[in-house]
Formats: sequence, C-alpha cells, structure tokens
Amino acid sequence: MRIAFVGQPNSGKSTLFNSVAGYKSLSANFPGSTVHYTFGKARVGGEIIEVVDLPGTYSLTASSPAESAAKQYLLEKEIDAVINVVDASLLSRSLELTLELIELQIPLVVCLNMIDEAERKGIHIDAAKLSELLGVPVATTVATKGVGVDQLFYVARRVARKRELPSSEILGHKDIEDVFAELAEHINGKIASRFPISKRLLAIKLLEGDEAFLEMADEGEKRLVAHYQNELEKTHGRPADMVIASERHALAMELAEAVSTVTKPRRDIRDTIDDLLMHRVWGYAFLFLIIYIFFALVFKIGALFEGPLLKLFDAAIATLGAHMDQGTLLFALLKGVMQGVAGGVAIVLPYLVPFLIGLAVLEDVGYLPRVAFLMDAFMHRIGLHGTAIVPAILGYGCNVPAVMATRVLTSPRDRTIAAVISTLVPCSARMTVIFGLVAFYLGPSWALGLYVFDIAVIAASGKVISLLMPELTPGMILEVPRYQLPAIRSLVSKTWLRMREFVVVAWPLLIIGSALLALGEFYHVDKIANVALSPLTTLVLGLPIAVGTTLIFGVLRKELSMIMLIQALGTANILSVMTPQQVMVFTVFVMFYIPCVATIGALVKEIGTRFTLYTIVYTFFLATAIAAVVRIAFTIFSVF
Amino acid sequence: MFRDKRTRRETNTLYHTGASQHVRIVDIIGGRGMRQHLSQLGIGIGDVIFIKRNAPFGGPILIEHNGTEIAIGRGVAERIIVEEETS
Repeated sequence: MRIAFVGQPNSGKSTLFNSVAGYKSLSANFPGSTVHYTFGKARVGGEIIEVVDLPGTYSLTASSPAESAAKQYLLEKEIDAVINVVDASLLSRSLELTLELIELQIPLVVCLNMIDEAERKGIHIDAAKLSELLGVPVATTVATKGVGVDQLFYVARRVARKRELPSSEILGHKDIEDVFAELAEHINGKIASRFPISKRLLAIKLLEGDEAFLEMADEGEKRLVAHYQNELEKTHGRPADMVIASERHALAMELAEAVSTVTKPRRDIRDTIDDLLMHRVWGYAFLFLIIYIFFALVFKIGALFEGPLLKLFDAAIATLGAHMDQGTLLFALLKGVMQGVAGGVAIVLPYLVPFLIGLAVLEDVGYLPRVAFLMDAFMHRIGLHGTAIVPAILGYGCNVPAVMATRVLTSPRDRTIAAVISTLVPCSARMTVIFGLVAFYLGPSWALGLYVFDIAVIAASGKVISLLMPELTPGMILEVPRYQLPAIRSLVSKTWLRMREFVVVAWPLLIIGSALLALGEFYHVDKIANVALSPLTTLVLGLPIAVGTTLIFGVLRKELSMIMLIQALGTANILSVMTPQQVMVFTVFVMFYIPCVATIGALVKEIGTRFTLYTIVYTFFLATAIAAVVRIAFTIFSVF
Repeated sequence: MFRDKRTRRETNTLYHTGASQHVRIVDIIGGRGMRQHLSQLGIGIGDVIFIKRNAPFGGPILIEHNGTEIAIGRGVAERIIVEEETS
C-alpha cells in the first residue's frame, strides 16, 4: 500500500512523515525545503505501508520546479491514498489545494495539522462539519508532539483499502461550471488517455493555461480552450486563469468561514520578537549579532577540541615511529591512515558538529525567511531578490543542498545565478579549512576577514553574472512563517543527516586518500603530479611544491585539501613548513577554486552541463586571480 | 464579496502605502506567474490585507492576511494597487 503526503509548504508534512517513517526527510521552517520526494516505510497496525513525502505545493498549478515535481507525481504514479496535510491555522488558503485534490478523485484524507497553533491564534475549527462539507474524512493532529498520528493512519489505511473517493461535489458559480462542462465534453484526444483524471479537472487545467496539459492537447482542443478562455474573460473582465483562481479562492474562504469560529488571538512573545528582529534598524544589528555569535561559538567550541586532539594524534604517530622501522612501506601506510583519521577527528568534526547544530536551529526556528526580508534590498543590488538568500545561507552548511534549494526561485535565470554564487559560499568543509588553518594559526580575526571578503566576492560575482544575463526578475513573494521552538529530535536528525555525508562518504575517502598519498610518496609518484601543477602552485601562488596533490584531492572533498596538506607536508604543525602568507594564499585558493565533485553533480542536475562547465572555469580563474592578488598584496604591504 | 457600487476612494500602490494600515487590493497589474504565486498564498483582488512593516532602502513590504505573513518585494508591491480600508 502506498500513501502520499501532499500539503502546502511548511504545513508540517515532513515532520509528520518523519514521525512515522523514521528520520529520512529534512524539514525546515521555510517554504520549499523538501525539493524531491522521500520514500519511507511505516508500520501501521501490523502492516507495512510505503509513504511518500512530496515537495510542498501551494496548488496543482505549478509555478516552481518543486511544485511541478509534486504535481507530476500525483498525476502519474500509482497511489492508494493521499493524506492532505493542512496547517489548521491557515485553513482558508490551504483549502484551495484541498479543493484541487478533491477534483483528482483519489482516496483522500484531510489532516488538520498544528491544531494547537490554530487554537492559540483564536481559530476554532469544527472538523466534523468540514468533513461533511468536503465529503472526505478529516483527522486532527499536532505532528510535532505526535498527537493524533495513529488515528490519521488508521483512517488513511481504511480509505485506501476501500478506495473511498471524495463524496461531495463542490461547485462554483453556474456560469463558470457551464464553461467547464462544455469544454470537458470536447476533450477526447490523447490528453485524456495521458492523464487519468476527470474531464472536468482537465478542462479546468487547460483553461488555466497549464503548460504541462496544454502541450498534450491537439489543435482542435487548443482552439476550443482559447475560445472558452475568451468567453470567461469577456464575461468577467479578467483573464480566465484569474477567474478560476478567484472562484477557488472564494469557495475556500466560504468553506473556511463555515467551519471555523474566530476569537481574539492571544498576542504572544513572538510578535514582540519580530518587532525587534525585523525592525528597520535593529533588525540589521541583530542579524549581524546573530551571525557573529554563531561563528564565534563554532570557532570557540572547535578550537577547544582541535588543539588537544591534534597533539594526541601527533604523539600517537611519534610513538608508532619509535616502535617501527620508519623506512618500510607498512609504516608509511599506517602513518597515512592515522593522519587521515586524525584529520577527520581532530580538525573536521570539532567545527562541523557545532556548525551543523547551529544551522539546524536557525532553520527550524524560522529565521531564514526573515533574513530574506531584511536582505531583499541588498540582493537586488546584485541582480537577485531576497528569496535567493535562503540557498546562499544553506550553502554555509553544504553547497549541494544549497544548489538544490535554488528551486524555490521561480525564474530559471535567478536559479542559475543563485546556484553559481552558492558555490562560492564557503561550505562547512571549507570552513574547517578556514578555521583549522587560518583561524588556528593566524588568529580568528583573519578568518572573520575571509568571510567578509567572501561576501564581497559573492556580491561582485552576482553583479557580473546578472549583467551577463540581463532580465527582469519578478521579485520576491515569500511566506514568512511563525517562529517555532525547534524540536530536539528534528535538530538531531538533521545534524546527523548532514554529518553522515562526512562520516560515511568523506571520511573513508579521506583515509584512503591519505594512504594513497603515503603510498605515492613512498614510490615518489606524487612528485610527478606536484611538478605538473608547479606552474600554478609555486610560480603563480608561491606555495610549497608539495601542495599540488592536495589540490587534486580537494576537488573530491574540500576538507581533503587541508588534511592531505598535513600528510603531504609530513607535519601537523603547518607553520614550521609554511609562512603565514602561504597559509593565507592556500586557504583563499581553496575557498574559491572548482566546486567539489558532489556540488558539480548537483549543478549539472539543476542548471545543466553548459553552465556547470562555465562555473568550473569561472571559479578556477577567480580563485587563481584572487590568490595571486592576495600574495602580491601581502608581499607589498609585508603583512605578516 | 465584491462591492460594486461605491464611491471611488484614492488608490495607491502597495509599495507607496505606509506601514500599519489595512488596505483592500483593487488590482494586480502583473504577469500570470506573479498573480498565480500570490493567489497560491491566498491573496487575490478584493482581499483586505494588513501592511505590517516595510524594510528600508527600497526593501520589501511585509503583509498579513488570514494569519499568513508574506514578504513582498518592491517590484511586486509596485504592481499591486490598493485603496485604504477605513474599517
């Protein structure tokens, strides 16, 4: 049995999914956080059910790729039942999607989620009456606390097994319904066999001008559609899609009003917090303060562990050296493996763990859309709008979800620019390089300086690319959700999901890489690679020749370039072999050059091969240029 | 839900209306994508919305409607025509 979750963004779909299927889906307090479907298995009453979490969608008229993914799935895949997750505190708006789902004529259950939040807002909903009016079962839940989830699945299972279809027909004004009916009668071509949905819904979708449907219609049907569109426009004085939208809007509003009683909302502390955090002046002060505290905490906690752990591993390697013949291949291999382990434990994890927890808190609390609001004007200067800041901030965690999150943007041009600049955001892997090298050896203020500098580079790059792709963007329309207290379970699962990337994928690579490098060193293969790269490394950047191989590994995973640096130079005390200036040049180069393999993969998927190639070339030359400039500037002004 | 016969009140764009006011949307002059995006968030012509705040430097407007808060960028806000609602 397969049950799909469908709901508007931020309705608590993913939370609900996670509570039944284990932690597989990332939820976040901003719209569009689920950009692809997640599958899971849930055990309900002794039966294993397949559950699918679809991307949040406001309606079945898709306006962003995340939404069309949901629509596609509903129309084409075999589903036994749909659970429509509804944010009870936003009933009127949410019912617009519910009305569309009812049209699909598939077994449906409406789940009134966040019922506690609605009560707090002073909205009291009569679920029984709603069920009667809609002709579908309605269950109430508080997904974050697990309230009502069992009952919901019990109903969903029943509906799926008995194939209970929505029983009432909810019709709008007669003149519009007549147009639907007339057009529906004439739809017979391949479009009807392509989409196994009611003719009436097909007619509605065609009249709305939905591309996915229009391209399947034949010439005669298209002509008819245009004819009826004209008729609607003539009688209502507005384009057909608007007529239909406002019809649904009015229906949903009527339904919502019929089933809910509204009392005075309790003004709570969150309104006061917003008055401060979104204030015209204080909002920005708090934004910088929050970001400053965030990075300061990550650095403090990381540094607390990095030093002692590094000493421990250096001592261990020294002990090993004292007890073994240092000229053997076995020793070289063992040393390489140990350095790989040391890099992960002592340098990456101390910064990565607090960073990921912090990012998860900011996400779940719902601060990111507020940042989008505050930064919209700034983002316009670089040719984008506020929404694009969400992927950019996610990029500080990892560029891969950042590139995927650009799907929340509606225009392809905005998506491309946002994806390219997201790759310039120093992800947590590069953060470990910045913190582990620059902050640790040169001081935290240099690291902070690098972050500020990075933002300037991003701004300049955004500006340049948007000049190359001149096009008016529609501007920001972004829902700003209520603040939520982050649930510990969600924080833990999210941090773990992102960290697993490192532990499961990167770490083995890192250990194997270290061993390979040790092996290469033993047989002097690394020299060839180093010499091949020496025009870049020594001539342009003025770095030790040994860093050549580390840069190759860095394309696999960014943190590898630092950890391999320790291996390549043969010591964890970098300053004994590199000057502070070289450390700086190396870090700057690693910050910008070529996105890692995983990011390249995501880029190809989101913006296509051509733009991905441009990005690789662009970032490589950008990194080389900036690193060379840093080298020259630091020499002229003899900074260190 | 539309009041047909009424004396014309002064209209303005959403962008040029100050914060902390209730306004009624009288027209949305924009492409289909923009109208649809707004309607998906439950905002359409005839709705009374509350302007909660606006950001400085030509930044966005934050509106509230039926318990949803929505940030609307300047470009979009300039194409939403509103009139003051005195209730």
